[in-house]
Amino acid sequence: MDMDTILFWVMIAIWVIMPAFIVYEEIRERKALAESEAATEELQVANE
Amino acid sequence: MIQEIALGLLTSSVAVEGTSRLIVDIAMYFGLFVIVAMALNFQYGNAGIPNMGCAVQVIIGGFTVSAITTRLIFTLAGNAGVEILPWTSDYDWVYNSPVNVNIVNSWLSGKPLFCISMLLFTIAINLVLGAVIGWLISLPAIRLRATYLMIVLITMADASQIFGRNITWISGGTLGLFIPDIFKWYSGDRTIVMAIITLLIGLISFFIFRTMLNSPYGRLMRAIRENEVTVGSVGKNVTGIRRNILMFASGITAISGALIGFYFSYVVEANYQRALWTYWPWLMLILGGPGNNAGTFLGCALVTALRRIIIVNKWFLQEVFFFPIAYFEQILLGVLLIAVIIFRPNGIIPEKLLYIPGVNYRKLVDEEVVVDWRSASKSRGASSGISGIFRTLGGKKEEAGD
Repeated sequence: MDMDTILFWVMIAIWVIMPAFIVYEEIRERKALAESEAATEELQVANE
Repeated sequence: MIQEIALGLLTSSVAVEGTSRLIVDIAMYFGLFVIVAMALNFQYGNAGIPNMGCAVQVIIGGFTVSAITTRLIFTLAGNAGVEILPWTSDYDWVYNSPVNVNIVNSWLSGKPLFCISMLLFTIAINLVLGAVIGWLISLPAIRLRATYLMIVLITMADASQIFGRNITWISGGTLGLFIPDIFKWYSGDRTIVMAIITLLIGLISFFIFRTMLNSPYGRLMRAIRENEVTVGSVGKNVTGIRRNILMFASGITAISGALIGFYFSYVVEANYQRALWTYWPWLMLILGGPGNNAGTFLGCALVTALRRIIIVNKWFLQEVFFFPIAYFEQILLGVLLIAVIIFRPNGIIPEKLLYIPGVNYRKLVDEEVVVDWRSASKSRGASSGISGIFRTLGGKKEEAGD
């Protein structure tokens, strides 16, 4: 296997990992936001 | 089965031609536009600065490669005893460029460390010069309102191209200038190495922007975007912050201009057109959704793939369409922009609310606040009237006004 082939697949790997990581992080942040909202709602209900 | 397929794919030799060439090309442009669009997202999506002058920032990168890096390489090669043709006068600088670059390339082929240090030097100098140009364009423009700011920045983008066209020692004027191949030491296809470096720089700039946006400074930026008068009234220097944002994003954007110069081994001002480096990144940003990085990435991926496929398959597509295919890209830009603004003004992935632990931000935003000045007490300093001023509809706060 020549160097070009290895680098080609490295490039593809970076290209796939980059958006996948960003989407994963986006989902994680949205989940944390929803959980935080739910927790605040619960706290408010408990205070009432 | 899957293991066999994976092994087969990995061990098969990939000749960088045909489809593989298209993939490398798309990856390269994706990396370049990710850098530009994320910097634009940083400026417009988060700080509300409508930067229509991305092309100025990109062109600085290209000019840095042609005017500084190439000169430095020529000087060092000359000092090392390489016999290159004269290059100091404007005429020699342009007309001896192909021969000189060819001579220097054969000298560079045995110096990988020198080439890598030249790449790092170019990136560093781009960050500095990009920031300087960001500061320069902010001088007349930063205090202007959004619409006027956009007009001034568009004009500056055109002005920078005119400078490049007419000042020969920058980038060879209308003829352009060849750039030494800093990957000459690599025996294979250098475009793959360039694509990897560009994607890595895109990834690093994503982390930088993400860290900044999640910091208190990021929240300050969003506050300026929402209401700069309020932020100014609490003692923040809005103009200074906007200038800093423009400078920082400008430095990052300039890197993409340098990378495209190295990718083509050639710099000409016509490569840095306003439409390509300002309007397309804007479409990517608006299509994906301003104010969030995932949207910017999605917009970049969609638009870049679409554009490169159209460009590469122009001859095939010409048979399908009744109008000249050369206009198809521009038509696509216009149609997509109009369609997105009409049907999805917030983009494919709308911006999410800020995550601040312990604060129900959505509820704060959803609350409707009505100010009823008539119920305020007339007497100065009376504390009883304060509660009557604000009557918040919804929730427990409604009782306060009644």
